[in-house]
Amino acid sequence: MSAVDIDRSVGDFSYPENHTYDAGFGLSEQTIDYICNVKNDPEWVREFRKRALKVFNEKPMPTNWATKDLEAIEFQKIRYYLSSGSQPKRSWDEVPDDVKRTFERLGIPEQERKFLAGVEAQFDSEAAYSNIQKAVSDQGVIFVNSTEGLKEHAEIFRPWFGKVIPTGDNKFSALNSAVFSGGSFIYVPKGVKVKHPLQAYFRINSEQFGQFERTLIIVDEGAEVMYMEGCTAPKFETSTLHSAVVELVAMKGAKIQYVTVQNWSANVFNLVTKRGIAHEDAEIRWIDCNIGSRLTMKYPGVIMKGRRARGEVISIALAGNGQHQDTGAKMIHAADETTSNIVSKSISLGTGRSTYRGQVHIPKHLKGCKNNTECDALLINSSSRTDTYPAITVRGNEHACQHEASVSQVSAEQIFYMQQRGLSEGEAMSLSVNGFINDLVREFPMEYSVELKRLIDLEMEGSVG
Amino acid sequence: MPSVFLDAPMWNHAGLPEWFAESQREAWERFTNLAMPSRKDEHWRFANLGLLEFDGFRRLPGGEDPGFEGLKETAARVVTVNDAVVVKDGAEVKGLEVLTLREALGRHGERLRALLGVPTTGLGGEKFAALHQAQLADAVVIVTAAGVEVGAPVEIVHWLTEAQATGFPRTIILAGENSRVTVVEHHVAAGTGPVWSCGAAQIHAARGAAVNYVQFNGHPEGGKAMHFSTLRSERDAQVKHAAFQLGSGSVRTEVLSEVAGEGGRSDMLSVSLAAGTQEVDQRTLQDHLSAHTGSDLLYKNILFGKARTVFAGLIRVDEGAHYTDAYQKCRNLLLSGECEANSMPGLEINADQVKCSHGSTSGRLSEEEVFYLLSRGIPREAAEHMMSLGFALEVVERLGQPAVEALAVRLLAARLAEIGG
Repeated sequence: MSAVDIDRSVGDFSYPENHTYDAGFGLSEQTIDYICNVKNDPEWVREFRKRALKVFNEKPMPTNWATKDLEAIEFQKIRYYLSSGSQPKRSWDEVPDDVKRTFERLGIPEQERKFLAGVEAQFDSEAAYSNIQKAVSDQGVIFVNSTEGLKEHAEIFRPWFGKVIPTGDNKFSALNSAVFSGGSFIYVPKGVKVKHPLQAYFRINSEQFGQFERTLIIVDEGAEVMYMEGCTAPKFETSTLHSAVVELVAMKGAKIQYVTVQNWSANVFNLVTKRGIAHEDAEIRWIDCNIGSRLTMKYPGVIMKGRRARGEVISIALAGNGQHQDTGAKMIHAADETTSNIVSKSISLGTGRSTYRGQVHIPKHLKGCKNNTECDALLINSSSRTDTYPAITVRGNEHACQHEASVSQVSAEQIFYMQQRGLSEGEAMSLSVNGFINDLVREFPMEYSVELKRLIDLEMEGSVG
Repeated sequence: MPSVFLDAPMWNHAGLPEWFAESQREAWERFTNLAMPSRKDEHWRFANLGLLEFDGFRRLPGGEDPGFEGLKETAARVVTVNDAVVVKDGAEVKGLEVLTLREALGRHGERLRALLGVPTTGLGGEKFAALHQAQLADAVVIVTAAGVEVGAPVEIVHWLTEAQATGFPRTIILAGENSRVTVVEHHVAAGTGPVWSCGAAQIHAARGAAVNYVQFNGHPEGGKAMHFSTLRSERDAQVKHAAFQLGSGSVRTEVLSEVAGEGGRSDMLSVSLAAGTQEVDQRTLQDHLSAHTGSDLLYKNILFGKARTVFAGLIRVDEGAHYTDAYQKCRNLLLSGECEANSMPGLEINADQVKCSHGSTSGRLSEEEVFYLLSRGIPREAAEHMMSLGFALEVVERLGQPAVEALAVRLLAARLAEIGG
């Protein structure tokens, strides 16, 4: 019926844990050795992980600017690696039954048959299933999980791995670098335009667990790809951590679109670092939708390194009761005539809080850079909250930069008008909210946008008053 | 000469209330105990901490009024020289009192307690606000009685007379219910050597009052200036705070505007002309404490040469402050290839039924408009200056009094001519 189903009630189920490999609670050098041994990592990866662990331990929590809620994460009460083996299944039939049922309930394999060029499904720490359509792989497109990428395609993987987001970028990128497992590695050769999207699906099934996938996408000169990811987890009583690192590299004239629909359950700390490098004439677009999680901190970035490169972040956030969506964008202009666009819309419901943080940096000695930033927030209830904290640096007189933000409510007149035409208050509210984000929803692939609208209807039920 | 940073001030507290003496002693202790700010502090993000080196600055004794050409018509005029009040005339208007610190404490004592403490904005400069309080030698206190409308502005001129001179000027405006007053303040120096001024202004507008405060910083290039303003508008009151940065080497200003009573309104305005290696770092907070309040901020920066500006402004709408209308706009005009503008406009909204927005733009002059002026035989530099002045006029027009607006245009044009050289 749908693409990745993001209705939270659909994602809220779990199967008993049945893991062959479990690194146990807490994080230490032993944990890392355990992960390396299970995954049979090359020696350089082991060293990379151990260095990262040191950085993670040394770095303070970013609570000088971020929410104090981060202090609620108990790093020693989390399991850092859980899997039933690190080799993903190529055929759906080989996937264990409960995992298969999980993804079937979420509508994943169905999707692949319909229109996707490739699918990867990650269950806790490792990919349970990974497949790419033959026609696509025949073009030379590589779509595997990160473990396979670093072993089988080291010559392409290693030069860019950790280069877009260095280990020490922030505390959580260091944590990911220490314990990463799963995630996708994609390489699109020169001139290949992948017609249909590649899709990854991330599922957390276990309690007190941390998922740390690592994705690296390299799109060679003139090539194009669209990647979509969806995330869900069941509702557990304890908190769960998801801390991914996603690096994108768009070579000359390449185009990458990265679509995320995040619908983690409300106990997940979602602390993600996402950044892309766009070379000459390349374009990177982050299309991001955050609906779930307890706390999301995510600021997708683009470093525009080549002339006329373009970066874009389109972001929708919905913060319901008890949720905090702390999202934003980072645009670093590093070449002439680079342009960037940020459009962010957030909706706060009940006691939800949405925050926009942005950074735009246009250094001197560059010419003709442009940035446009728009962030709009909608507050539904009197206990809802929204914040906006952009930071814009422009050097020199060859650029143009504008930023606008607004906060508003659904107007009482609009609601009255619709009620007078026979809609219930809830329907009227849903319609207004959908209207508020409508121009952004259109940026999502059709199946996603249909789902998004339906989901917003669901969230809006009973939120009026 | 004792250092204003290392040696406890030589207070003369004889005849002053004990609470005031105590506040100065406490402030000195606070200043010495507080750590220097660091760039990791959000309130010092993008700041140049070089501003915080003060070797060689010293306090000087008062002297004669060097004479400053300000407004032609004033309700009262005060001149301080190195913080000593040397001229105080006018004040013939019934219901208007223009007082020195001693006079004010004698007459109004307790009423001033809240306004005569450390000027705390909560925007990062706590250490220096404490220093200001500890070093406070005098103040200009303006009190209006209920219902009094003061027509012509009160003008204050703060002089620093020599290179390396340091001053701690303080202005307090206590506006009674439904009264109106305009205060124009100049910070100037007699020579061309660098000076350091660490000033503060506290404004309290009681129910229905309207206060208009306009400050011009015309210190010579190369020195430092810090200024802390705290504004509070009670029910239906209006406070307008405007600052023109036309001098100093590095400037840091912090303005906290509490819109406290229903129907209260705050206007915050600024124009900075920054040239050479000047830095202007401005932090603001529009704090809405009640429902049905309004605020509107417009800060314009015009940057030449290697100038650098930082604007960090926050609109905070507290819980229960429903039906707030708050706006904030920072616009940067970049006229050289090496200048830098940093903008951090912010919103924190905890209430419902609010209308808030902020905008920030950074750009250059339109080439077409410059071309038009060139085609009329106006040299490029003059054309740029005309257009810069035009850019600033949107702020000037909101000052509200023709004489003050004319003064602002004159001082802006003079500074532009100076930059042009």
